[in-house]
Amino acid sequence: MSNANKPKQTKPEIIKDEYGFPIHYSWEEEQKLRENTRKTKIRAENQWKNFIEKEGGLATIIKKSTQLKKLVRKGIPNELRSNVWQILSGAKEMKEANPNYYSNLLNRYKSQVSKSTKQIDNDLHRTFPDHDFYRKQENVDKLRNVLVAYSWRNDKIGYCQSMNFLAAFLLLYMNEEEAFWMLVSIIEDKMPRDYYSSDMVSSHVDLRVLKKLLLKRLNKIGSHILSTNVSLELITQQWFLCVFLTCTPTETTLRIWDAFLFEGDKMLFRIALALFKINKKSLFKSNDHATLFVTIKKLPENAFDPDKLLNVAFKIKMFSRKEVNKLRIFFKPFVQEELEKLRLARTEFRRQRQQQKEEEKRKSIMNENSNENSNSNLNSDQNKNSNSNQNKNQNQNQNENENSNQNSNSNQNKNQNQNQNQNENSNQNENSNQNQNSNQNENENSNQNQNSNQKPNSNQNSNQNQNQNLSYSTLFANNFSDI
Amino acid sequence: MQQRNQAHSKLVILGQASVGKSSLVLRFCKGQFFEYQEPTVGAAFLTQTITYGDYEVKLEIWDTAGQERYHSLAPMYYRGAAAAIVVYDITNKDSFVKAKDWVKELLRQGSSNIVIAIVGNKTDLEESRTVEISEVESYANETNLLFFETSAKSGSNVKEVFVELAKKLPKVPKNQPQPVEQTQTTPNQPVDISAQTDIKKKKKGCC
Ligand SMILES: Nc1nc2c(ncn2[C@@H]2O[C@H](COP(=O)(O)OP(=O)(O)OP(=O)(O)O)[C@@H](O)[C@H]2O)c(=O)[nH]1
Ligand SMILES: [Mg+2]
Repeated sequence: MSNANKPKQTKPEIIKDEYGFPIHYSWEEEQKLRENTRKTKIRAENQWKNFIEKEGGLATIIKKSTQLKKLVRKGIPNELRSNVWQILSGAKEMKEANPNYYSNLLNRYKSQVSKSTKQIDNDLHRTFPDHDFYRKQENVDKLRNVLVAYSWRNDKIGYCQSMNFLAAFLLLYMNEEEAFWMLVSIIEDKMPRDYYSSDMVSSHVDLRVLKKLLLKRLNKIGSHILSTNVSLELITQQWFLCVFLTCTPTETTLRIWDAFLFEGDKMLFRIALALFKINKKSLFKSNDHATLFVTIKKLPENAFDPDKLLNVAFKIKMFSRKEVNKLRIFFKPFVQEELEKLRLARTEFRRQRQQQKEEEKRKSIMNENSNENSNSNLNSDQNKNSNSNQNKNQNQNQNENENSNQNSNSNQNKNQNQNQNQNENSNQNENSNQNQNSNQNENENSNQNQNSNQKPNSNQNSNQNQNQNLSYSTLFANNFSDI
Repeated sequence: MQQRNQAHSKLVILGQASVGKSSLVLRFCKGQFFEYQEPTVGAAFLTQTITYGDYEVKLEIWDTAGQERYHSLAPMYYRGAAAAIVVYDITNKDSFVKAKDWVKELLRQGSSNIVIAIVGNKTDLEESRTVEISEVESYANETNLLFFETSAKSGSNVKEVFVELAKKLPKVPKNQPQPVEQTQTTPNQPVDISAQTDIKKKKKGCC
């Protein structure tokens, strides 16, 4: 192909939804549905109004009332979202407890460059490029500020692609500082620790947990899907990291966010399972990994009816937070081990590359000084060794660096200790009251859960043994040989 | 992993973030280019058929996330891959270093006879070039890789990469009926990304 093709093709006229995002292909159906559900929406909005009046203003709404929970599940009226999100997530509280924190952070690191800031700059214009809001440079600058500030706040995470979407979405509803604290609350409070950090351990763990729950809660469809060996993680990771942003139609995304900010990360699993449940038929029709991949990838986009999705999600006889956490704790060591193997392998590649370079250098030196053969050999061997050590150190340093400063930078209440399990547990305790409420119905299942929980242990063990012999390319094959 | 769909060859696209992986795929499959292509979180997947002479090769193309921390999922992408395109940005030296790491990893851990192409993208930015052709050429020769320079933006050389790779993959006679070709024939299948295109007949934006 020559340069005959004209560069800079612009997208054809893009139709946008009421929130300014390009519409999904189920738009027409969605429009019809909106017509039919307009009354319900108005009713919900009135209920909100009454509730707030009764409580004596938005500022005083209490986090954990069952009535509020019901209302949130019905959807937060769009004009209240900004405020209610900030209250529900705890972002407002954090912001008020740390006045000037955000602006100080920005000032302190002004014009400093890091790996994170470079990647952020690469992604700024690639974030919701079709949204009018981000056609304005001043708004792109805001996005940059929020992401850069966060990257300095939390070295361990820095910047992870997907955070750009989270921050950009928040900025549509609130100012920079507010969006910053929302981002903090999502990443450091709502999501498990290490979701977005440099090895993304918890993210990987949750993808396993989801697979397991898929088998437990929707056994037939779950077995069908997993038996094809489809790489589910390659799809579901995006769902979770972006809290379904860029995946579901906007109205649905907003409703998911309402519920997520109130009820926490458990919502991610509920929504994911609901997507599978609602689309059972088309999933069963897909019989190989390729077809399934395409089908599953499309599931969120088809979910233009938020009420249907959420109703199914809330009704899924699911798990207590305890169960999720149990599974998380269970899968974590496996994921960690695999990540470590991968890391070692890659370190080794890098070392070899360095070594190769050295050897080439040596050869060229040898050619030049062919008379001093023995000496130069000795020397360069020494060089080689010291170099490879250096490499190792460098790698270690890199990892350590990502952990350092973390304590000094974080104003969080939580320990940023390395004992993640402990931390996770404490996280969860904060929410346990709420869970007990919401899970009373689900507790019927808990015995059964515990029983089935024991299953994976034995499987895992046998898998672990196998794993030792497995080649590295199968490391991330799923651990569900019991299907 | 079982490759149930024998008729398809799996092709993975790897490389540092924002070198233009998604753009290359988009250019090749849909003839489009967007100045601001959203970062890939997770993976995109599509199928594409390349026809040459009397033969055709069906490709299952996997476009992957570029940011380093997503690379722990990479083995999942490249297991069973028959071909790989490793992309760097000719204006970014670091991305070429990363590309070489990918090649090494593929040679070690990928399928044993994987065909690899190393691709320097963004040739439309010639004035900012930092990776010299000669350097990559000698590297590609040593390592036995195909080597191309492309511009997803102008479209230059993009098709060639895929076609040359495809020529090295198992092919089937053109009109031979395929054994259960589910990827493309399942009813109710959302159609947009499982495109089936005869590249010879292809005009811009036809799929
Ligand atoms: N000038 C120029 N820009 C390009 C070219 N190819 C891609 N880009 C731009 O580079 C940016 C990144 O392109 P992507 O295709 O998203 O890159 P990627 O490798 O998929 O990035 P990740 O998904 O983040 O890993 C986008 O803004 C593209 O418009 C090219 O050939 N020339
Ligand atoms: Mg991409």
